[in-house]
Amino acid sequence: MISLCETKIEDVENILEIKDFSKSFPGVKALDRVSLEVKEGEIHALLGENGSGKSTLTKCIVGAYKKEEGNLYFKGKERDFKSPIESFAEGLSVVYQERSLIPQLTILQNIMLGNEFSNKIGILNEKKARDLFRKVSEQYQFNINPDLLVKNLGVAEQKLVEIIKALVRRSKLIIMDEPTASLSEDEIEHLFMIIAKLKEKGISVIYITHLLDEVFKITDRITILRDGKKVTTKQTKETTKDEIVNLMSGEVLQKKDDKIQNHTDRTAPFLSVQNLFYQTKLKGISFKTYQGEVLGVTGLTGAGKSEMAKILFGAIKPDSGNIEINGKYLRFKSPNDAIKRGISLVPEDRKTDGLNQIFEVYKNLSLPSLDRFTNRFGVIDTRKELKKTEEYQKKMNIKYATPFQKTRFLSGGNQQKIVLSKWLETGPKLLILDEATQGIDIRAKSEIYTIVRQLAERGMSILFISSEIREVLGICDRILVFRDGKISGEFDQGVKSENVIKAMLGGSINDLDKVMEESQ
Amino acid sequence: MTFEKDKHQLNKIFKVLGKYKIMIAFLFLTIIISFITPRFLTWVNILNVFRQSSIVGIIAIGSTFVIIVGGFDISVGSTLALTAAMVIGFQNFIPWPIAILFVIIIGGLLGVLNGFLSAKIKIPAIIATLGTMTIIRGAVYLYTGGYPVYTDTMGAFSFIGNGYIGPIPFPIILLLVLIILFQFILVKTKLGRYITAIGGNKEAARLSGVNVDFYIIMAFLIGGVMASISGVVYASRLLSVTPLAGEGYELDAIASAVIGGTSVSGGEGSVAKTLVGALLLTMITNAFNLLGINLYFQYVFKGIVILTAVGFDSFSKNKNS
Repeated sequence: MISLCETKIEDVENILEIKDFSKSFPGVKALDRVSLEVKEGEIHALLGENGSGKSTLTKCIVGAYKKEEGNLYFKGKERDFKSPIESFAEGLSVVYQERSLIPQLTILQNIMLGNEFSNKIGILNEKKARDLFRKVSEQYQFNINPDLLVKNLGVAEQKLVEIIKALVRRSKLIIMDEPTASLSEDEIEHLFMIIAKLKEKGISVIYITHLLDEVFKITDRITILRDGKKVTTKQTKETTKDEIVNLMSGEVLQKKDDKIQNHTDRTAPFLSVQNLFYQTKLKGISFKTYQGEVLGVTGLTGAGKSEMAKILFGAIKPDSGNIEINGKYLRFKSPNDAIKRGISLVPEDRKTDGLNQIFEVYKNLSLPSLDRFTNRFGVIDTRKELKKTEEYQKKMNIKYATPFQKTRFLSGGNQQKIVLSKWLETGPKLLILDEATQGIDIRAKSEIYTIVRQLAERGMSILFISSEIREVLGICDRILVFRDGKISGEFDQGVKSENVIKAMLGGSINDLDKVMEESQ
Repeated sequence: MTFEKDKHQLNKIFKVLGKYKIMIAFLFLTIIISFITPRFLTWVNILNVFRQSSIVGIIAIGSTFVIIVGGFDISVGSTLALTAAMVIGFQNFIPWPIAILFVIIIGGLLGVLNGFLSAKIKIPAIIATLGTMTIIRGAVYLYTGGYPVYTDTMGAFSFIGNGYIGPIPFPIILLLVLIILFQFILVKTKLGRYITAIGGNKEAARLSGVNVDFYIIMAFLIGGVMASISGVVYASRLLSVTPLAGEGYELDAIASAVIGGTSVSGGEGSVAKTLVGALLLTMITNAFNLLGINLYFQYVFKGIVILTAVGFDSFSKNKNS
């Protein structure tokens, strides 16, 4: 069986071959002689921790970055793409993590953008575009109305539109960068179906992700990068998750299955929320948090978790409902009010909300607690800032060249640790973490789990919001499940994941069994 | 390997060059001009360049703050005219120090108005200040009745624009003091840090507890105050103000900030470098005058300098990302 699979792959031509790619940035060798082959119709996983060089490699392949050394062969010919536009026209497309569609245009307009059918004087041929769209839709069994505006689509549908766009240009290779980030389980299932169909038609996919379950479900081979170097390429069927994790981190991480210790102080709730309503997102949310407790909040995307976090932090105002802290009724006008009351939020999107990317590390770190670093005339003591930054660097194991480095040059895990540090410096009593481990590598994730547990042990109340069920089960003392703006379940540590999933999806979903199977 | 090392070193040199390019351009131009005309590098002419830079230079301090916070203020030229006319007019009723205090408050209030329109009403800053620019210029005509305002008192008031401390004209000293003070405020105080943070990422600043609207208004307030101080210097220097005073100064001030490396998208900039930008612009005019070149060419050349400075910056930034 395995040998049959191998011979089958051996027979097939390489659609993409790269040899000895190198690329440096100031102070870092981002890629060091990396080679990679992708065969026709192959789903090829590209794995590595944050900062291992995955994004740089992708950008060098499509021509968004200029590589310093190395050769690239696409469809059998040596090529040197100068820009993503050029590689896209040749049949190499990327579905980026961040959305790259124009929200004000329709699906069809987006798909045809830059490649419109028109006559000599520039008048668009609408019919021809529609015919092409219909043909591709039938071929791949997409069922989507081409006249919808992209701004009205969900994240999953937008991903779908990007894939259709690639197919319309007859792409032979599609690079997908974390395509399942912020997709619900159902949507992920649909995406996998599409990928299977692409494979059937001989289209190759380079699949970049952090989620090993996905890798083992859909890919043929796995290439692992570490510190800008290629570690190895493996047949997916011949390896195991543990082996991959070890290869990625470069060391054997012991599996942590120790039972967590509950430090909840149940004498009086720290925060008490009653009947919170917000637009169509929250429909009567009530719950309590205690000091020393890690309270998990999970649910599908769009269930209202992030809105709840922003309300508690004073960033948006609820339509109605009460918030009490230490038994005192409060109404926050701004995040500043919330911070003064000891509430901190590590927001969902660290790049746009968590950090000022053109700010130096130490300036990001001191921003919310700047008063601690100033004298009574508002003059900042920079030495104090630098000292604190160094303290957190050691405590949180943050990797940066100097505290004067701008945070945009750091990897996701290190950025997130800076966001966490800047909030810990405010001395919060309630720390809200919204998808704090999204898109960061395994090691940084486990470091953040450890920190969260330590903080709870010291009496902090923690609200841990995440759509990754496994981590919520792993580190929370109590779990709330949100569904469609309401709390659909409350569980204690040790609950079976299937119960949580049931509460997330509700009873009416048909393929409940299938979803449960996956998550185990 | 050695090649790589060389390359690395070269990169480093380029980086340093990039950081100080405005200084280098400034020195380069100084050397060239002084070779062409010996009258350029004389004590008298140097003081002249500085003094001519002082009015636009003071406005440019404010423009730097406004651009860093992510805004634009094109109303400062009109504010200069209004406060200059008023500081002379008011002296008919009140002593000059109080008149100065009054017009600085007026400049500050106009700045607050600009900030309010931009931060609270959410009118894009360039449009908001286009509106106030027109209104304030109208107010100048209404106040002056369309005629120049002038004063004959050659008293203490004229010291601000014409006096000397030792060998150095007072406007230069005022300019330098303000540059140092506001550079300090920008880099060493909470006010400056918050303004920079807002320009870099407004939402991240808000979610870090920064009162965003307040500090945007503060940046515009500094813009208005600087314009009115500049108006006082202008009035004191000429002792007469026409309703057309200060027209186009806002553009020279923005150009000074931008040539000095202030990022047009906000979040980055330096008051000290803005001074160099302002000196560079004045130097061009000065050199052209010394060389007797047609005034009209100066405009063309100034425009080219602005485009070169900003183009170099934008292009290299784009390439890096």
